[in-house]
Amino acid sequence: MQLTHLQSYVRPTDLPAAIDALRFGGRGTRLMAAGTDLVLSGSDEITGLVDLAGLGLSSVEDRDGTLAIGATTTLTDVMQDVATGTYLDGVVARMLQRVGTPPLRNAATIGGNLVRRQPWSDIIPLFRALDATVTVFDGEHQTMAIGELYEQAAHLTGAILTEIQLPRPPIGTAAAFWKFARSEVDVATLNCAVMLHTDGDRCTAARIYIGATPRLAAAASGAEETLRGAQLTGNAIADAARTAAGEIETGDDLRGDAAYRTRLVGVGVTRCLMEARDRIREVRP
Amino acid sequence: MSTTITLTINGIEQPVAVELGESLLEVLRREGFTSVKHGCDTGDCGACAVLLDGDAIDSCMILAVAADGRAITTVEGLETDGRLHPLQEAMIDAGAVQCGFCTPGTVMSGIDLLSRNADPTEDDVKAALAGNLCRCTGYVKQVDAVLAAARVMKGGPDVGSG
Repeated sequence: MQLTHLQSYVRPTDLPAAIDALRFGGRGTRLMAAGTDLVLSGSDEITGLVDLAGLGLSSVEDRDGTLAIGATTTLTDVMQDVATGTYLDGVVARMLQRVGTPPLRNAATIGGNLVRRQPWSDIIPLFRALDATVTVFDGEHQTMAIGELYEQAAHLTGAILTEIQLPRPPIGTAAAFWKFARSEVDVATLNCAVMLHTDGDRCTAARIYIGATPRLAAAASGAEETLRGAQLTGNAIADAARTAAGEIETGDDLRGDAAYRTRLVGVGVTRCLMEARDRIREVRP
Repeated sequence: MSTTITLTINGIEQPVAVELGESLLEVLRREGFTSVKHGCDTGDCGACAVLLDGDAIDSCMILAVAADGRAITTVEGLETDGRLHPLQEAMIDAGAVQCGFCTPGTVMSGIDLLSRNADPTEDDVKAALAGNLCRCTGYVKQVDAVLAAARVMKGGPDVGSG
């Protein structure tokens, strides 16, 4: 048996009923989407589950250029949606292709990944680089920057994530994702995501996030600053990569030590910036 | 704590008694669907893969209660009028079965792919089978089998298998 202390399971069909079930369920009650991570945890602390599968939160929608993703949409359904394929050259679909295995992607949900905040998440660094917003429900709907999910624990424990929005990118924007893992299906030893805004050959703003350091994804703010106003030359990219490797704090775990990860930061930032630059050049007339 | 859920397993709707914390894998095996193999219990090996509403999932990672009201297909349900599924036939023809432990899960991932993509490339098949570990075949014959099944299911000649 996976969750030996589970005493209650409910599948509400509307958000107010779901939030009530969470609030009145007691300390051991958790929200569940597919449950893949919760089942794997085998946690004795879990005594109640509120299954979000009945809330109708599974959809992908192109909202005038903004990609809106329902929180319980499976990774496969996000990856294979036409709107995902056209958003920023399909960067979200390419990233999801690197997450887990097909049977896992058929079950695991985009919101579950964001809320479980595993440090090796591939989705979190890319969505932070893409400047995503999220909508949560705690009795009322609130929309906020995705970073707030990780800065205020209440959004993760006392509210229901309902939707993620990836904003419409202005012309001259490109994004890239890079992952280093021990095998195709392993979690990341390190990952990196980049979004570049450009005006001609000049970078007007960059967003760079590094994950699995082995802590949760963080911004490489110094590297972002070196790129502001710079021509995207090889030297500028190398400078940004060096800055990122110098500023991102790395650590040891079974997948790699801190020095190795620091080397990976430089590699990841270089490859992401080169890919994003090349994608911008490809679409320019 | 136990409860009774309704599962449609291989086309037959039935009440099933489950413990709340049990995985779908544990319940299916107890109900006699032993093609669903108990491998890693961590969603890595794919031996427990079944179709849940048509999508291949690792049944070790899903609670049985979360499958209440849904349709499950296991290898036991693939036969039609005494004939194996084209992918099962192709697995035999290609010599893609050795010890057989991974085969049911691999077949499920192959059927999932063929339901989404009737004309897969070799790379498509390799990507689709990435969640099914096999320690016997070296995967080559499994990939050949899925490609051969795709040709048969499209109604074309099975030119790929000897």
